[in-house]
Amino acid sequence: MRGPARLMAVLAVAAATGVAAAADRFVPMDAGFVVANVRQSQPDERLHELLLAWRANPGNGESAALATAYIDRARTLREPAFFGRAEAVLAPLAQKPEASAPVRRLYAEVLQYRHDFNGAEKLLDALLRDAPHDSDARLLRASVRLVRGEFAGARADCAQLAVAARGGATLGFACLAEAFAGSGDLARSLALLNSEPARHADADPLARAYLLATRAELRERSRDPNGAILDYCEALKLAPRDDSIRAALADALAARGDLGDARDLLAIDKPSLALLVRSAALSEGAQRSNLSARATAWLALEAARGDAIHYREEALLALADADTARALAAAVRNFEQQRELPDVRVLARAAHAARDASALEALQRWMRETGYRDSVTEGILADGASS
Amino acid sequence: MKKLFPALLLCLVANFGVSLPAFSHAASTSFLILDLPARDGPVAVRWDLSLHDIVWVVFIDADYDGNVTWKEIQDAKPALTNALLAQLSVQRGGAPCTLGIQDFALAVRSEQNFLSVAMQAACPKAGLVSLGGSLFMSGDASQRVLLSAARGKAQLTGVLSAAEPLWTEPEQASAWTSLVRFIGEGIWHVLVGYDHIAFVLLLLLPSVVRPVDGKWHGATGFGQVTRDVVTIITAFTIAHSITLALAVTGTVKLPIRPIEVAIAASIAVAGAVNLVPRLSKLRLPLAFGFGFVHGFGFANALSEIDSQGSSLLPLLGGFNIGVELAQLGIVALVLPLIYSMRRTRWYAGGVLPLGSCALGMAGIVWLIQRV
Repeated sequence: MRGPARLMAVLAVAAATGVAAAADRFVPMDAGFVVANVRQSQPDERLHELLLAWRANPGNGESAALATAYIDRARTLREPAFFGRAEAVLAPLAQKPEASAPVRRLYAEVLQYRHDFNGAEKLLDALLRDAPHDSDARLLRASVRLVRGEFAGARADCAQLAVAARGGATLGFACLAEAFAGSGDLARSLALLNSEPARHADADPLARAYLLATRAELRERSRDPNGAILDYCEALKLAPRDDSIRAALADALAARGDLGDARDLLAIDKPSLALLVRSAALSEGAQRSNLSARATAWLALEAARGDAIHYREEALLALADADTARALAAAVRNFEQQRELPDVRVLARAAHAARDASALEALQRWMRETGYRDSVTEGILADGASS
Repeated sequence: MKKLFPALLLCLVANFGVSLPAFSHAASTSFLILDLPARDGPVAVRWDLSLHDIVWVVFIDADYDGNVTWKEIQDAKPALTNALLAQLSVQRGGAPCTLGIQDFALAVRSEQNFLSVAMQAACPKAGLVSLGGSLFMSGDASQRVLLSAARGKAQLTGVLSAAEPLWTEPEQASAWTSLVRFIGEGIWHVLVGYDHIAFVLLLLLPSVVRPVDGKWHGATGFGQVTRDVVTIITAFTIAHSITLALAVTGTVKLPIRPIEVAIAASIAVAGAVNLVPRLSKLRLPLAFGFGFVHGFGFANALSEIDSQGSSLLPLLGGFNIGVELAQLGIVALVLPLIYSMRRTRWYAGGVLPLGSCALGMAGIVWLIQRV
C-alpha cells in the first residue's frame, strides 16, 4: 500500500464491483406479502401541497418552505433521501444572486450534511457578509468551524452568539466553551459552562443537552470519566434520539470498562452506522460477525456510491477488525474532513495501531499548533513515542 | 457536537422540535445489471429499485395503508411498465434499442425488498451500449444508480446520478494496447516497490562469489555467474508468475496483510542467508519459495490498477513482462558493478555482508510495521 488515498481508491473500486453485483431474485408465493412500508417515504398531504406550490412557482419562499419540510422529514424520519430532495430543490437557486438568506442557509446545511464543509462555510461567509446579524447563519458557521477544527474562527462566531443571545444564552455559552476547549483552554471552558447565564438562561431541552454533552466531552478530556458519564446521561435524557450523544456515552462507558452497559445502550432499533460499528466492536462471536457484516455492507454501498460521510465509522470498524492499514487510511481521510474529539482519538488509535510514526507526528504537530488537549490522545501519543 | 447543531438551528428557525442527527441506512440507490454477451445481440438488463423511490412516480399503495403488497405491485404493472420504460433508455451503436419488460420479481438489498425488473433491449445496430434516463432520480440529488455490466469475462462498473445520468460502455482496448499499457504498469510497480527491489538485490549480491571452506571467494568467470543469476531469477520468476496468475484469475484469494508481512519476512530471511556462506545452497529454494509470496504481492498491486475494458491475457501477460523487464534492468545495472568488485577483499568482507545486513534490517523493520 502506498498512501491512504490510494488504499481508499482501491477499496472504493472493489466496493463498486461487489455492491453492484446481482442479489438473488424471488417471487412471493403470497399475494398479500408486504414488500415495503412506504408510509414515511411518500409525501403526505402537507408536503404534497408544498411540492405543488414549488412546482408552480419555484421561487425563494416556496423553495425554502419545501426544503425546510424535507430537511425536517430527513431528521425526524431518519430518511437521508429527503436531504437529497432538499438539495434538488435548493441547488438551482442557492448560487444565484437573488437567492434569499433562508435558501442559502438551508443549502449550507445540506452541504454540511454531505460533509462538504468547505462549500458550506463559503456559502455562510458570503451570507454573513451580506447579513452580519443573521444569528442562524452564524450558529451554523460556528458549527462548521468547530467540526473542522477552526477554533479561532468558531470562537469569534460563538462570542457574537453569546452576546446577542438569540435563541438562548445557553447555546452561545456552550458554543463558546467548545471553541475555547478546541484551543486547549479546558478549565476556562468548564468555568464558562458552569456559569449562571449558561445554566439558567433558558430551558430549551436541546440547548441544555448540547451544553451537557459539551461539558461531558470536556470532562472526558480532563481525566474525569465519571463526571463525563453523568453529563452524557443527562444530555441523553434530554435528547434521547441523538445518536452522537449515545455514541459518546457508549464510548465513555466502554473506556471505563462497563462493556455490558455500553452494549445495552447501543442496542436500539434501526441504529445509525455510528452505533452499529460500536456495537460490532463491543460484541463477540456470531453477533459480532453479524453486526460487522452489516456495517461493512453499509460502508461498501456508500463507497460504491461515492459518498464520503462515514470515514470515522470505517476507521472504527477497521480498528475493531485489526485492519490497521485500512483504519489509518480512513482515519486520515476523516481527519481531513472533521476534527472533533472522536476524530482526534480514532486517528491517534489508528496511527498507533499501524505504528505509523509520521501520522503520530502529524497529529502531535496539529495539537501543538492549535493547543488542543485530550488526556486520552496525549496518552496514546506518549506511548507511540516511547515504543 | 456538530450533529446536534443543525437540529438546534432548525428549532431556532422554525421551532420544529426534536430532530434526529443520524440515519439508519444509506441514501437511495438502485442497481442496474447488464449482460453484454455479443456486439450485436440483445442486451439483458436487470433493474433493482427501491419502492421508496418508485412511489414518488407511480401510485401503488392502492389501499393507502402505507404497505405495498405483492398484489398491489401486480395490479400496478401497467403503470409500472410505462414508468420504467419512460425512465430508462438504451442505445447501441448510437441507435435506440427497443426495451421490453420480461418479468417482475423481488431482491433483497441493504436489508430491504427491492423490485427487480428483468428487461431486454433489442438493438438494431451493433456497437457500444449507452444507457441513461431519469432513472427515478429526478427530485433527489442524492439518488445513485450503481451499474454493473458483464462483457465476456470483463466486469464494467459505473455510477449514475441526476447530475450525470448517462453511462457509455468503454471501448474495448485492443490486446496490443492493453499489453503495452500493462508492461508499463509492471515496470513501474517494481521500480516504486522498494521491497521487491530489495529482494532481487539480495538474490544478486552473492551471485558473483562462491562459498569455499565457509568463506566467500570471487567467482571464476562471467559464464558461471550468468548461469547462477539466470537460474535464481528464473526460479523466482516462475514462482511469482504462477501465484500472480492464480490470484488475478481469482483461483486463489489471500488477504493483503499476511502477504505484505511474508514479503517483509522474505527480505529478512534472504539477508540472513547471505551472511552465512554455508547456507548459499538455500538461495535457489528460497528464491523459488518466496517467489510464490511475491506473486501475490504483484497481484495486489495489479488489483489497484483500473483495468476496466481490458482482457485478462494482455493484462496478466503485460504486467508479468513488465515485472521481468524491470528485474532484468536491475540485474543489468547491478551485475556488472558487483562482478567487477567480486575479487576485492572489501566485496566479500564489506559490500556483501553489510549490504545484506542493511537490506535484511529493512526487511525486519517492514515486518514489524506490517505485523
